[in-house]
Amino acid sequence: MSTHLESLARRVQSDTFFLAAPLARYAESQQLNDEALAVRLGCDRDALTHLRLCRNPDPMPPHFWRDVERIAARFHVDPDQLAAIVRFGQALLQGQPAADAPVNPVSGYLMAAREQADGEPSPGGET
Amino acid sequence: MDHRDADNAFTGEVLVMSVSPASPPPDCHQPLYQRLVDRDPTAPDDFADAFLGLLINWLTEHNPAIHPDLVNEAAEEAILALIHNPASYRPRDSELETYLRMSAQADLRNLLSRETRRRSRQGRLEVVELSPESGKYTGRDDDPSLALMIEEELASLAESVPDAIREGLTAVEAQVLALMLRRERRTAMYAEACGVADRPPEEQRRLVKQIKDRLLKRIERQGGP
Repeated sequence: MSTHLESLARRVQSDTFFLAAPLARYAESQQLNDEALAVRLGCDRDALTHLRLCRNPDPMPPHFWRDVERIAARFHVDPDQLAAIVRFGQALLQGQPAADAPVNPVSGYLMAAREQADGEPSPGGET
Repeated sequence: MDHRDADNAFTGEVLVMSVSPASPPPDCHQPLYQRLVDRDPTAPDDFADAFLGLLINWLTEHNPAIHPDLVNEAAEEAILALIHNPASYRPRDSELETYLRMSAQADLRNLLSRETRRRSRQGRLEVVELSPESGKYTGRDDDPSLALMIEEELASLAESVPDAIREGLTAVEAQVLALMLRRERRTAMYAEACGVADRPPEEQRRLVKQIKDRLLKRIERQGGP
């Protein structure tokens, strides 16, 4: 892993354009260091650097799930877990009450998001 | 930082825009660039991975006197600017790598200029000029552009000195200010104005520095620029 890339990945942790931002807020809220965050995501430290440099998924369905799946497939991480962590981090970035944001990978909003991405209705699903 | 800052773009610099042997062939760049345009969420990572190292190497090679931290920052600025705004690059006008090099070089100039401005306003210019530790901030002491930028900054400060301050200057300070206004860079001229031309060169520099520092602090204290 290039140290230059690691440096850039650290730099963009406050830039909401990048996935680094919600990951940083999530890690901060859970008091996770890089190692622990990588474990939570199911990847190694190098992959974490690459994940941070990805674009922050569009929060609007169905884009969110599509973006998450694309990132997860690329770096071989569990899309449900990634989605849950990113949603949590995005909620923190938006100043929403983090305690209510779901962190369970099988939480309802993910299923709703997937249903919408598949073109199925999602009554009461996430907006 | 906006690397398209016209005031700082490429003045007096000859840039070599050849493609380095380590670069991927130009036709490899277009799909990557298109993915940025198409908002592919993994494209920023691939783009940074492909170009950041190349850009840092190129900047280092063409700006050997500049501290690596500034070089890295300039390369990062250029990469991030294009990731944020892919439309700033027009494929018909130039190769992507060439565009990034120009952008990074402009960013480097802006960073140097900003650093010089910051330090001059703090009245610590001579630390940059004389201290052997100056390299850790702005570059190495043999960087020919640094002294010029410092003098330009001094002249810029001096130009906007209010009349009220000018009237309160001593004769020596007034002469030093006049020299600064005409962008005089030679220490000997200042030493002459200050009446210390008969002293050893190092002492001349120190005494001239004291007078310049005092003058700048006075300008700042009394509401100057």
